[in-house]
Amino acid sequence: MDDVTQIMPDQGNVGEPTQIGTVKICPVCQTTNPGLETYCSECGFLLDSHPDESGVMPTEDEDTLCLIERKSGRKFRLYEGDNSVGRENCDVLLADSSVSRKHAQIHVEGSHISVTDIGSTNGTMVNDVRLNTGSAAEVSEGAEIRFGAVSLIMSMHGEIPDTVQDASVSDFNADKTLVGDAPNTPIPVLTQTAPLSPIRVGEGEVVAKLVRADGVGGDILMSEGEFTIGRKKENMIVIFNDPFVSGKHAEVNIASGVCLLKDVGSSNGTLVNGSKLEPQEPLELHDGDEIVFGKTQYRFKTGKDNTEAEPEAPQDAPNEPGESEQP
Amino acid sequence: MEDKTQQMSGFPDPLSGATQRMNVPPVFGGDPMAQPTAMGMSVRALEMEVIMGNQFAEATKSSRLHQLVLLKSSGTAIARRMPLNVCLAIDRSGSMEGEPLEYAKRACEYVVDLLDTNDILSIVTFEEHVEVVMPARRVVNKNLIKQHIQRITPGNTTNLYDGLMQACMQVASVNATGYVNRVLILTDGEPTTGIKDFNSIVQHAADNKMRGITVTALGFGSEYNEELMAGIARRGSGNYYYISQPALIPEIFRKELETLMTITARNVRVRFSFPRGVQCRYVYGVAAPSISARGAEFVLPDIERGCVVANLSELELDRHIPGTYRVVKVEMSYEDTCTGKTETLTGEGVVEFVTDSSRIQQGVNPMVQSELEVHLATRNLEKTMMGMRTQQLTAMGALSDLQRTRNILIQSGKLDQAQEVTQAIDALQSGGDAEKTLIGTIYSLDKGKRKA
Repeated sequence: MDDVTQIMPDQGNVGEPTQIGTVKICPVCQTTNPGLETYCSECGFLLDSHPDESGVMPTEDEDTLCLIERKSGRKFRLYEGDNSVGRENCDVLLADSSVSRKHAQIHVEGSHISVTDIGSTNGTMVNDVRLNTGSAAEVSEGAEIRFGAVSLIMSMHGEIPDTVQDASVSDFNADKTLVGDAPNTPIPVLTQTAPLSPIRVGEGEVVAKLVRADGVGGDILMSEGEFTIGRKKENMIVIFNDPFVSGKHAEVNIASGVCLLKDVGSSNGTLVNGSKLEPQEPLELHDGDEIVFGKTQYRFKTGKDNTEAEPEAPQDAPNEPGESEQP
Repeated sequence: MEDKTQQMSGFPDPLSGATQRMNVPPVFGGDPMAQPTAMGMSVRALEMEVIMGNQFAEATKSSRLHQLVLLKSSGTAIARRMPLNVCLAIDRSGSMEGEPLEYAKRACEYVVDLLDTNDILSIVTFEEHVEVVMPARRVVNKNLIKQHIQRITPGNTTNLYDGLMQACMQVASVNATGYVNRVLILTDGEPTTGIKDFNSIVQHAADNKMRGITVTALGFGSEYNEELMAGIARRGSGNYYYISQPALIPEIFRKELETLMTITARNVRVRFSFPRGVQCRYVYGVAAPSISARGAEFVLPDIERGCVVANLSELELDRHIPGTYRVVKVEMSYEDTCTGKTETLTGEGVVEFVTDSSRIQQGVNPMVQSELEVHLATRNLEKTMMGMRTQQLTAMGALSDLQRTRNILIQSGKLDQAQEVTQAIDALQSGGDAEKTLIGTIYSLDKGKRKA
């Protein structure tokens, strides 16, 4: 670039009048750049040089076959033949801890594309149907393929087809439980100054409670009765800040001093003292049991033992779940 | 038109003349304090260089290209070190009884001696419960602090999560900026009470990193979970140490403290932006890079003085109209302990897209190539370790794998890590614990840090 005389692009005259002489039009992508830029802000071309006229060609294939990550817009190109998918040394390289090192295989043969899960830990889903290990599934334009927690759209033209974009983008995050590892977005740091208020469910005397193990508050005070637990608002006990909790996760039934806990088929399960509950099989809880819904951990306490030991749990908490305020 | 790599901040490049210098001051050649910078400001702690794996790329088809970002810190001692805000979190479970706990206490006292009145120290012990031996305070009355340390006695189980949480809270409770914030957590076993699962504990370390608190994990003896401790260090951006003998605990604490006292850059954040037709495929050795369509962003561990940090990533290039292009813009920001301010550095990577593929061979940069080999050796080391753990690899097979990796490391100038692999080989031959050493070697190779 040392010897090339700077040519003031004559398009400068037809551009915005206030910027005459201070803009450069990129000869490759026709983007208007400020005069001080050395490289085109759009395509990176060295603005004072000339592109090789002999080999003019489109910068991007119009019919690029690729997978597009919805969250970030990243494109993963697919080639004719076998394309490996995984976290290490793969063609489609997904740096996410919910993706196995060798996760799946995508075979491209003309317009026929098939996906095979090759024994991944968190599984492969095509349009919400989980693949059996080793069996190939045909995928078409616009199909959603999920490797672990990474969701990708199959595209034949380098962009997400319109039909997909309006379908389920908005509610994708809201209504699905994350399976596998934590999402990339930083989890808000809970500060000591603002502990969560206790949640009171049922009416009458508090007979049992679930105490948050991380000490941030948000303990659940329960009377006799039957309560649903989950991430969705319609539950009586809402665990809202843990994406690993399912929409409908579990149920608690307290009657005549006996507390039964039942997992209603959650994605990531319910653990009691480290062992996973069988779905739909109630288990009796005892004082001091350690319970984990998704990634949120509680300790089960029966009412009479610790009403004094836990002064932050008011006996006269307001009845509205989630809206109670500490005096 | 031969010059492809643009170097924003100059220092002597031993490898080739194919590097173009934008700013002239050769900061690393001479005395950094004596060199004026281009901006006429005081000298900054870091310099950055962006090197492309090849100065040429295929114009006619898509290709992949490696990119190396070198961060170099000045080797000269700065007039004033940044004060420390350190919490020592000590496991006092039953298994620490006797020599280990006594040496741990001695190590704590040693730390007290090393610190001065500008530094802030807190000490937390954990067993079934967590106890704050000393809340975060300036190190003024050293004898009094030592008396408190002497009162530490062994307890029962290991509640690692709560210990880590309390330690981070102690560091966070200091309501002032301008400190190097660090938690040192020492344990000799698996977590046995409280929150025990790997992801919750490691995520806690990662959350604290976002708040500017880094966590160094020290594993002692043969019973601790090296996967967990290395995970804490990795996500907490601190260091990982394997301490085989109780008598070594004070020495390792000293080493860590000395490292902390020479930190010149904290909160190191790197951002790549790409033009159309260029994407990032992978950032090597970084726990959670966030990669988007036209960029990538990630955090690097704190940098001590006299270091070179090599960060390797892989780009995917679409086909281009032949010509010279800037394929990446690199922006880096960090808190500079020399100037006390947040500084930013910028750099760029330039590549010429050519139709004649025979020119590609001539453009290979040997330094980037060598970093790539180190990375491959690191992954091999990981594979060897997995093979040993799952017993799919015989001791003989592991030995020959390790010897091969060691040779690659020696050739690439990674002598410290080669030394560690030698230790692992010795441990393997004498029936000792090689994995606890190797997991640390893998982590330190991934950090890409070496002495300048």
